[in-house]
Amino acid sequence: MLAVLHTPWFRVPALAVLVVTLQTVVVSQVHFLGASADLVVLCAVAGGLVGGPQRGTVNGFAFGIVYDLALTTPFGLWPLVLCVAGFIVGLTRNEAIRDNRWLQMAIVFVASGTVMVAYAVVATVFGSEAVLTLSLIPTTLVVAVVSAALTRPAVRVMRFTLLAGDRRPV
Amino acid sequence: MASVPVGRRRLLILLVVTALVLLTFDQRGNRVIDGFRSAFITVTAPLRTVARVVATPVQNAWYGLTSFDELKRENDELRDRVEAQDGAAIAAEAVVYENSELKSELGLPTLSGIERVKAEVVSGAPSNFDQTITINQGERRGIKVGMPVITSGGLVGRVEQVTARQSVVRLLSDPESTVGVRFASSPCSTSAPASTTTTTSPTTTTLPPAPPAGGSTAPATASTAPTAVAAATVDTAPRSDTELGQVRGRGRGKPLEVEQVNAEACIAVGDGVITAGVTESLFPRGIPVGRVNLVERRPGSLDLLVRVDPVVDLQRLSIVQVLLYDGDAAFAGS
Repeated sequence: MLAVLHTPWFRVPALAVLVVTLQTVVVSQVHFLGASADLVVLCAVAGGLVGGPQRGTVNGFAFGIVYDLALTTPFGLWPLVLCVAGFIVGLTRNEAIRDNRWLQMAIVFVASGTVMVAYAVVATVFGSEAVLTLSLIPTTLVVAVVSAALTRPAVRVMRFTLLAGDRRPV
Repeated sequence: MASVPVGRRRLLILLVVTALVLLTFDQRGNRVIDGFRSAFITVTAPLRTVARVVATPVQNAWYGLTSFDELKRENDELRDRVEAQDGAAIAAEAVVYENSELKSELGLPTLSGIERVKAEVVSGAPSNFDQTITINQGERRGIKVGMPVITSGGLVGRVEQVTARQSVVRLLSDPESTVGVRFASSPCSTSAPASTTTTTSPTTTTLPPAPPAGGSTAPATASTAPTAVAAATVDTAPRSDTELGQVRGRGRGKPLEVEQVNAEACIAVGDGVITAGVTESLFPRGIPVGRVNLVERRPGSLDLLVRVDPVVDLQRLSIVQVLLYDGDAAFAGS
């Protein structure tokens, strides 16, 4: 029974709830240039980096679902964007990237920024107003920079979460 | 993509389609999704409380580091303003009291007659794209979806989601937020359009005084009305229906925009904006919303471009009040 606690099927949702709570209560209240960092985006991107396209997709979807439960934005937008992000970032996974922290940071920087822009575009397509504005520039920059800075701890946390019980080489 | 195994692609497609289905359901107003959202807020409430208690000292330290000079300057300015307004506030309170008395004698509804629930803000805007706050009162205190939320200064927003003990409030600054408003100001000057010069009786307002006009393309008019900050009640002389509009948020820290304002309307920078309280409105009439900071007549347009600074600082809310005002019920009752 307790074996399930050591699988990603338990760890990913549990981490998602924890990270979303931390994001919505704490991180979102700390503003820089009028924007706040986004740990949920970071975890979805880092999940792709660690787990590859398959796990990255499921991980991104799970984080997106939990994130949307805590927000009032259209339900399904974050899972849509984050599962695609997890998949695409997962495609970049290889040994060269695994051993190079600067390359990991660069990927997380680009991917996090792209996720924010992609979210704004998709939200606009689905009828949200005033999302695709100039204020998206500082928001994207803040999210990308903070995500890149936190790449190392995020990768460790996601490795613990996604590769739980998996002894195969990454 | 050619090197990606088919199973992975299928998984991606499956999840993308699932997300699109969820989006479609949500756009059509699915109660199951609303139920899940309410359940999530309820279940994670203890976790949020713990996170808030732990994080508050850290957040305060961050504000101390990044905003100390700004806060000090703002504090000095506010002290000056409070001193200047003390006298006017006393005069205004007397007029508001007199107004309420007259309304109750005539059997008209007043803001002060609406029951309210005080609530503490549990968390602010949860993401870069969502302008909502969570408060620590819910269904158990009679709060329902759609009820107006105010501070002693003016309108904050309306209740979007309710659980037993907590509520989510959509702020005025959210682009999805719209409020019917009217302009509360002194009678139009003689240079104003003829259609808007029908006001004859004096105006009473409790909005704070207009900030210095800057960057506006319209002339500011001098207000002769007494002013005060405390009471959330405004009454104005009757004005033309051309001076009604709909306030919409434009995102965090940005002025609100008033839509559907007739180009003939007599509006100037510094005019107060209050809730219109028209039939079937979710908001009672007279809650202060803000002050006009820009009026622009666009060539070829039937509408004025009007921007409004909210009277309440929506980024720094700590205590709010929920007006137990059920617009539909009130309408049905009348």
